[in-house]
Amino acid sequence: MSYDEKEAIRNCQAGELEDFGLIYDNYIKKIYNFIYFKTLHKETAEDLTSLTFIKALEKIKQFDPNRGAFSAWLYSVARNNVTDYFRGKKDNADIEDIYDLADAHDLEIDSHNRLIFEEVSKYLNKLGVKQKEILIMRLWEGLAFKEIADKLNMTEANCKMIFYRAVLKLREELAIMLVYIIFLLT
Amino acid sequence: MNLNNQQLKEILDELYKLDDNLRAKEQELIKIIMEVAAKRLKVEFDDRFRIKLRARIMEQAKAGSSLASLTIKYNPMKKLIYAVSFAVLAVIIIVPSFYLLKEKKSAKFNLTRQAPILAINKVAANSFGSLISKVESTVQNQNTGAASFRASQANGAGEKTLDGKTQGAAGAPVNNAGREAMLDNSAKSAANLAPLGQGGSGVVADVSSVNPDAKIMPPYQIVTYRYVYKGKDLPEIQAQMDVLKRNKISPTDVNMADLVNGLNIGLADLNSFSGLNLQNVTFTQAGDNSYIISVSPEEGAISISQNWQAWPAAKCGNDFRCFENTQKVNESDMLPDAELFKITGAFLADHGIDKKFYGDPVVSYNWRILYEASPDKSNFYFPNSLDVTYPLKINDKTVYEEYNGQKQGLNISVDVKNKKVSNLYNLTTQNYDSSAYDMETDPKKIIAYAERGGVNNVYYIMKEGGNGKEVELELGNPELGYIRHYSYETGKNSEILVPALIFPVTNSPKDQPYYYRQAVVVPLAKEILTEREKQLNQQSVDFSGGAGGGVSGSEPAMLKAETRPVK
Repeated sequence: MSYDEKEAIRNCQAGELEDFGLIYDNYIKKIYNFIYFKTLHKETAEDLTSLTFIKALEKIKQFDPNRGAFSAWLYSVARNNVTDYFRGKKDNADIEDIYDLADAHDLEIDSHNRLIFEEVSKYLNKLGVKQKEILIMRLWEGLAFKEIADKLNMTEANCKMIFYRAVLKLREELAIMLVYIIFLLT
Repeated sequence: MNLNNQQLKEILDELYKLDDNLRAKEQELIKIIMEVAAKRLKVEFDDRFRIKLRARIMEQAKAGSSLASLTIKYNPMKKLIYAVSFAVLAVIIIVPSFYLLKEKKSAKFNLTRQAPILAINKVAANSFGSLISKVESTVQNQNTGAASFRASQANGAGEKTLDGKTQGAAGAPVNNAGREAMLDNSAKSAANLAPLGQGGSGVVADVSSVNPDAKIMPPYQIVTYRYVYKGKDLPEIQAQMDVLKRNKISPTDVNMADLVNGLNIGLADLNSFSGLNLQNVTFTQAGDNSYIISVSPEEGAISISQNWQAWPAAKCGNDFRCFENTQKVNESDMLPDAELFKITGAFLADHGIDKKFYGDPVVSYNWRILYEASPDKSNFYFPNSLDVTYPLKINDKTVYEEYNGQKQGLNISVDVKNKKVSNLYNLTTQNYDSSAYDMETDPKKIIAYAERGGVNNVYYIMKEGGNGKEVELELGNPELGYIRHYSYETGKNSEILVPALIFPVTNSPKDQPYYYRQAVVVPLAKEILTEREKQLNQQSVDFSGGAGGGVSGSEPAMLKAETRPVK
């Protein structure tokens, strides 16, 4: 079955909400992965994914195709749900994902990812929100910059630039760690 | 995610386009990029979650669509109606969504009550692969009769039972002893040979060895059934129709893994095993006439069975006289259909079991036919329970069993002595994927198959002047329905529903108590029908004394479809 997103959205906005199923099928795994990489907990990711699609169904009439891509709109709904979730967990702090947390020990993280999280969070928490998102989408999800740009409502050039700065930052951090290690050894 | 050379080169080229100076730091960059890529966190995406959420979303989408179209159609004040409609829709959607999240967080160990929904998700054609292997093992099970088929369901198709006890299974109750014993005893009082004309593979060893002058045993007579279609022209069958495969989603939204999270039961620390999830859970009720309830999130099923220890029969222990005096069932104990339906209906209502996917109940076994035919009614074994079936209906089509044409669905047994429900099984979640498959559209072929009696119908070819009898049975206008099959491939069982035409037998023989076929079922999926035709050609018993003589399994000339007259 071919998927015409624009037509599906038009139909949903006209009240034929059955076409929302096509939108759901196209985005469910992507949105789930996006949320999971921010929360690292299966049940939380499922909850927030559910909420994202419920809200998207409810608000689809408000989406204006002239203001950006549908994917960007949907990802922003997902991102807001994650932010709200962390605000609820950590006294309204401005936290966008689990890497931002200074101490994530009290948060539920899937056990099979706990060790890796502790390693990657050392450098990911030095990056900005957009830097992390783009780095994760490029290196972990293997998305092309054009796809990333659509999802984040940015230009492709901008995405590349943010990725470049993220890599430079990581290089800096690794250099600092190396100096620190050398300092400890001498 | 480990990057290959091509992917790595692409990333590096992108960076160099932005800053050519980075080329000098290539080795560092490669190290950073490869390390980050390799440290990809592992995502486990649960397909059951996807299916379940889709069903709920579509249910709400449907509710929203109906509401919007209804109000807009009949009221000229469209703007106001839009506002009101979407406000109501928002309430419909937002309230349950917060309820869903809130309940999940706060009610960690409570089984949440969810309204059951029917969901059918369309997938690409032929998505389930070949239907043949999915069908064959089911047909072989059916060869051994209803009781053992249901027993195989109880054991998860040959797999482990829930708690090692037969009564605790989340499929069918294994205790069909009543029916088996009745058949066994009544059969013994009539003849000591294989059931007559039952359509199974019951081949008699040597008919000629029966002594017609024997004082104790009556002469053995073989009956073969010939079917003739007497209905109208068949309805047009679409070249492709949807086959449905049931998705086994948990009947509850509660994450069953939470029930074991952090659980140290003393003998072992369950928390030390990562990725644990509950496969089955069994609850035992206290008190007289209580039940054992088994919930299988893995199978998406719930079954309810007698807690034997708490029912009156258990009080007799091994005392047969006590059982005879207090629990033996007599004719006066047998309940009419209306009373059976009252008991089952009340049970469903009392325990919050929704009937909305099921049609009107039917009693699935008619003991009275056997009783009327029994030559020794004083020794007749009255069954201690009677089965009621609430037939499953999907897309207005009823689900049938292929081998006997009986309706299939929610099964409830009623203990006739105690006038209570004793068992309930086949209560399952209703979530399906549907995939188009090629159907047989030639009415001649369909009717020819029906007139051969369908699956497992054995033809007995008689000796000229021998002790055999042929009975002609008429088939009426068919109904379009489904047949349910189970596949046991790769250690798991899956259920599929295949479109079928169900031809009712309009003149069941009154003098043949073991005749059980209520309808002849013709599966419409081309792949299955072709395979069935091959099987039918192999299912015959030749007593005519033809080539090979005596009993043979060789292919008889009379059974080929093209030699049978077809209307």
